[in-house]
Amino acid sequence: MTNVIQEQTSVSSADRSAWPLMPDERNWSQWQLFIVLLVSAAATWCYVIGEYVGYYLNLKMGFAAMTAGSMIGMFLVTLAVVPMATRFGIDSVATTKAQFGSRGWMIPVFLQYASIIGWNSLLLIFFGKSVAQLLIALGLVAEGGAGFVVPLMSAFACAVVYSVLLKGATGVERVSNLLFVFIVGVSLWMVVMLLTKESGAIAAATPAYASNKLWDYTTGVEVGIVSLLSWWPYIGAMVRVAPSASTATLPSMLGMGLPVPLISVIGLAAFLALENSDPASWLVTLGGPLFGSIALLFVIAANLGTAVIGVYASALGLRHLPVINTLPWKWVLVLAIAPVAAVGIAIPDAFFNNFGTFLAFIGVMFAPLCGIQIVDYFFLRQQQISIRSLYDTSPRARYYFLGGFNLAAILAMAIGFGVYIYLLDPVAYTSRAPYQYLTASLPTFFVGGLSYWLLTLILNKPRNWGGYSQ
Amino acid sequence: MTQSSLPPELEARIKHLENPQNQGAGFTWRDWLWLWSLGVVAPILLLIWGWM
Repeated sequence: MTNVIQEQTSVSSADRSAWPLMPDERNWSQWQLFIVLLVSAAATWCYVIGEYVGYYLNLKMGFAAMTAGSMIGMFLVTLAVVPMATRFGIDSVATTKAQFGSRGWMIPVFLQYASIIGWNSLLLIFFGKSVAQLLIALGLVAEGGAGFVVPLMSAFACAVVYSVLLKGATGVERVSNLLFVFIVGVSLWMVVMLLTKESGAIAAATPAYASNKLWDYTTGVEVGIVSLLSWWPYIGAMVRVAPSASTATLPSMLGMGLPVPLISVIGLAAFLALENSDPASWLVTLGGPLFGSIALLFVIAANLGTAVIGVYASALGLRHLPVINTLPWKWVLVLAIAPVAAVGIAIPDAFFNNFGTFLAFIGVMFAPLCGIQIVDYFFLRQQQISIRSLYDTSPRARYYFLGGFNLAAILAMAIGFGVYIYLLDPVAYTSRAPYQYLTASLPTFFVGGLSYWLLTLILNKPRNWGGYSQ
Repeated sequence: MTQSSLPPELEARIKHLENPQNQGAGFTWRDWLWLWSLGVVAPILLLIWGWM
């Protein structure tokens, strides 16, 4: 048996497939996983999160709300994915097969693919815009004449991501080790710069849209929760290389959960003091083109690391589709990168201005998804999962449910989505009670999980669907 | 379940991982302590501090 694995893996490396990893292939230490997850989490979107919170909250309240929300969000994602992913060496999508069915897992694949493509496209457009800004600041390109930079940089970044990921998880590991020190070092430097040069302005700043203290504070928490729930598509591909849940717990909570609020607070402070959260722009204001160049390198490093890990995770997710499972790895990578490249090259401005709406709606789906997974794994199945049934697609399979789809999961997702939309419009951020006391993501998480529990008792257990009695 | 329907490598991996001893261990009490401390207790304390 071991020989079969050794012979086959020389042809199709396990870290480039969606198949479960063997114990000796799950060799990342706690520290290595921490580095990879931190590099994955640190990206330009943190500044956008900080800027958004800066409209409503001052530094102290913004820091507390974002950090609290982020840690709560990471707690939910960790409970939903880490136990199953580290137990069998499987990615986020594979962990959903017991809940969504032997065909229904295509729903999480779609969520993962769309979410990662969307976020990666935004990251690369941010990256291209930062380069354009710097070129203008350096006087190398005239104002209004940098339109070609974003498509060019997007194509360049996609080519780099592709070449790194040809080596699978090893490529992720290497690029993370390379970027880690730089990302952490420059982040700390930015904090020092802001505190030494603009502490007075930060302390005196009044958030522009602050109105109701409770609503504003809750919104800061909500932004933190929903941002970290968006790590669901990424985390499984990384933690599956860890040998146990223990190895992944602290890297997940501290490596993936904490960097987002810590880097976001830089964006928050910069926005409060200088009304600009983009470091490639405000560092030019504080220290001239040299500082701007350092910020640009940071944006390159941070966004590149996240893009590499995101494309890797979505490529693994695509591997679950039978038609893609047999494709060479390089073609799977093309499928994962091509939409990002197309957006970045062809429609960067249209995407940048409009796609946020779609991403906002995709993001709210991860709250009920986490609720469903936690209820199913810990309560309904008492942590009993059949690894064979996760890969068995026959009608006799334990997780076949009805035609390969678990109606309980689909309905619970729809109910959770409805609850979120009722409580909070994720685009306009208009809300209904009791949002100001509970946030929108937490009720969505609980209602999604509870609905799944009840629907499983009503629909699945009486019909012996889903293998709950085995 | 027809085992032959799976590719040989996947079949071998699954067979190996069906043995609980070859599966990754779940959360220990120490992990649960960290999870609840960082994911629930610390956020509550932070929110109280931020509000004051």
